Amino acid sequence: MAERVVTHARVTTKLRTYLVLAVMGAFLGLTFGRPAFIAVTAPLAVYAALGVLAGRRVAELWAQPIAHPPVREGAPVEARLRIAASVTIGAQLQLTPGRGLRARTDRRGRPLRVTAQLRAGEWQELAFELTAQRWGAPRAGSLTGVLRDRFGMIEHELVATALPAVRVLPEAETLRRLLDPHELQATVGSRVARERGEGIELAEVRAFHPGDAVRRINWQVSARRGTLHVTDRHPERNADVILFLDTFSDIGGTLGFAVRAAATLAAGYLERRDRVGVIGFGGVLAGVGPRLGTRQLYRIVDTLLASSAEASYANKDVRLVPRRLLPPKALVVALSPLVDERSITALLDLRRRGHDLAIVELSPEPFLPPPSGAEQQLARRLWHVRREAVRGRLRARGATVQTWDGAAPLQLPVGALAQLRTRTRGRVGA
Amino acid sequence: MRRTLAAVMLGLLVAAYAVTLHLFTGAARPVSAVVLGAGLLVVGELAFGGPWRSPAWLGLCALGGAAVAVVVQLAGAVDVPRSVAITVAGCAAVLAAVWLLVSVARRDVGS
Repeated sequence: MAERVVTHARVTTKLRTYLVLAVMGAFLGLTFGRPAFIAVTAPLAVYAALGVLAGRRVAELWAQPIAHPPVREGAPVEARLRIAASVTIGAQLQLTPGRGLRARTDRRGRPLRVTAQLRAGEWQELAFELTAQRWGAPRAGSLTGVLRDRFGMIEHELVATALPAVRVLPEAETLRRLLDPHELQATVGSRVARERGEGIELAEVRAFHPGDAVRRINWQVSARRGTLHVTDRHPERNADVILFLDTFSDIGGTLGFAVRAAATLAAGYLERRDRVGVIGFGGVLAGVGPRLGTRQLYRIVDTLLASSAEASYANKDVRLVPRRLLPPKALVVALSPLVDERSITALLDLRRRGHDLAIVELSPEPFLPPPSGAEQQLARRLWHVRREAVRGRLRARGATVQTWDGAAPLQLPVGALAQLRTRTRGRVGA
Repeated sequence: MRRTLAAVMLGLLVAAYAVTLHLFTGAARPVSAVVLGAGLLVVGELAFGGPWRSPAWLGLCALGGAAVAVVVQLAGAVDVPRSVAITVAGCAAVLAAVWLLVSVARRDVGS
């Protein structure tokens, strides 16, 4: 949909210079009685007059931004738009990129300009090269610039026009190992359940009991042993995984790490045909219920892109989370800096309710300035002790906690959590 | 850079014209004025030209500038009472200066 771009006309430096020179020539010519002085500068005056007459025509400009497909962090983005003008005119345009995007710049650090000559009524496509630096859905930028006719005496300045948003997807890692949930759902998936039932994976061969299905009789073993034996199998089930983002606070960039980690985990679990949902728990409660498939990945990514740390003083707890977002027997993977007391309480509540909880603690420490002086060092030590106490409270409730600084691959904390969960399984109850 | 180049070229033109006035007499002076008039316009275009700067346009400017300079020279040769010429040219200069000042103060014209 083409939109008309508002322009403002203004006098150029060129016109001012030409007029000043023309007036000077006229003055000198008349003062000294020499027509030659006027002859030298008269062309400038005539040219300026023609330019003003031509430039006063209002140039209408229409712009039609072209949507850009989603890109990954670090990938190039080509912000494109089609423009057309009512008169033949030259355009010099520049794009001020939106937050999280970077434009190519000249030696002075200004965004590079695009120059085009527009013919009356003809559409022309322009492209601005950008680089996506940070995940999110920022506007591609605002378009500014000037339109100038051949004479260049009057130019039409564009009022800044916003280009549509570009979806920059968080960079996702490939995880070799994920956290296995303690309990599975009743629906079919690719995880082997512990219980017996219809499936492919062999569990055991046992003696026949009245009530066993005839088709489960293992005739080879029965013939060898002389009594009826049946084959038990493990059914294939899937799991519900809820990614719990703490959006109460963003210290230095911990929320960015949380979003990247959530995108990676969501892609990993969905690939294994688990149902994945996400909850943004903070000043604003947002979420997507657990579902399967590629479309769910895009729903989750959209929710993640919209997540931001909103300041809130409201006392929020897990009861505010709708039941559809937090189904029973779900594995909850929390991504939190463990700073806000409300999110810590919410995680403890989740354990009290019997949810299988694993916490990736996004350490805010790399973003803190080094302590200077004895008092600050003491304060930092007390802060460490307090954080260790928080971890202790969570572990005592049966949650597994692993710290991640955001710089190391996500596989490290996830692998460590998986080992911890295997070790502590069955020892700590809800 | 472009402004510096234009300033240097303008200085050279003025110097060339001064030398011409000093050295030449008779018919050479009007001819040199015509050439310099056209040259000044071309220098201006080179200095301020944006996306439209092209050899064809510059050539057109030079021809147009020379034509205007010739017309002015011919008009100067006609015996018109000097007071009338001064009055007309002075009024035009004052009007141009006032308009320039107003436009600079408003920084925009038209819509």
